[in-house]
Amino acid sequence: MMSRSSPSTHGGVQTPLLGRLLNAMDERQRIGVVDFGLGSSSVLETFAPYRVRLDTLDIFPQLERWEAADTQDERRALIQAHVDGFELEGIDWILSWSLLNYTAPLTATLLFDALRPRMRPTTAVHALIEYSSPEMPASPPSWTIRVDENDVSLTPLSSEARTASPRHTPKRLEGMLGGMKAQSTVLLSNGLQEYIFRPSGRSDTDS
Amino acid sequence: MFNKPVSNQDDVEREPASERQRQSRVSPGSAATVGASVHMDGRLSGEEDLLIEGKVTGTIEFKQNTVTVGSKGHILADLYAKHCVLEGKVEGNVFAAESIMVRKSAHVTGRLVAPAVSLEQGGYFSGTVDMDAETEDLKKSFASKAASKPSKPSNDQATQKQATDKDGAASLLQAQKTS
Repeated sequence: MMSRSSPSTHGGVQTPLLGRLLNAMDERQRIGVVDFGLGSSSVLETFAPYRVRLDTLDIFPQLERWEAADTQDERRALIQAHVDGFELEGIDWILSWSLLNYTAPLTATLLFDALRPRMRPTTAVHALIEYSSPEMPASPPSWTIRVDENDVSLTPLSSEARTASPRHTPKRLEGMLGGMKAQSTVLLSNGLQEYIFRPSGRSDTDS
Repeated sequence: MFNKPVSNQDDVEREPASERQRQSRVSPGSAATVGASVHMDGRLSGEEDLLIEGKVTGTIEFKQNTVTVGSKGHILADLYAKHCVLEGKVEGNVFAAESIMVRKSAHVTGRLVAPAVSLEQGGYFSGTVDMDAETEDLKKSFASKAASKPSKPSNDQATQKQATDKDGAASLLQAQKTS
């Protein structure tokens, strides 16, 4: 499925797939959310009404060290150690807002390998990927999430410096995420592509 | 759609008084204080509000009260309180029966467990936040005195070692005054 979103009425960009995920949340059910970025006040506010455990992995500061590892096994061990530090429970959602644009494909694959034992058959990966522009901010933007009555939007705060954008294709992303399939995708008004990935083998009609 | 309750932290004017109160730090003079030059190692407990501006290692239990880790405070401890306000350095797990407020100045490593956890606008954190009021960790921590098991005190040799009970808070205050 592919469609295009509208600009938000308050400066951010509408993220309909994130809205769909939030709208399906059950206030009575405990859910585990892993955020690849830093936790922010707006993310906490968004999840505050729910029974949520939120683990913010903040992977960007780790990437240089991980990717400087001499061998794949060493890189795997570094990533596994970082993930193990969180003593994760079951993962229902993974939030990757821009982070996969900055992550080498092998690193992403090893990261998902480390997370997979805690993932459920229904785990959703919500990702924002550079699509239209050949350039992107030199470091991942900080995102502010805003939930209104009819609109869920994300507003980036990013540096002026730019770097080349990898513009990953859906197929490459599926390879990076090791067995996840793009369930839905929307081209956002700011040129980013919004995705929901789910474990492969899962029906698209599942909620 | 999207009509679920959402708090708005920066809208202070519309917050009820009780909400403002739970996010308020403990002020010096209004509560027991661990002064900036005080280092403690062991189990610290009491039944009045506490402000920590020094260094505490071990376990801190003020389950009916507000504990503020001030901007100069540093704890390497599991902290149990009714409300927590974190402004300084926190390494360990923080369990609050009602709320945890993390100020922008705080540096937190560990788990934050409370039914309500808020982060000052513009602040960021890495780590784990558990906002499930029904989590077993929270139930165990606040079900009864017997249910709470303080973590083993560190063997680290600190400058000063004190184990306090309800009355100990007074000696803490004294230590702060004389330090």
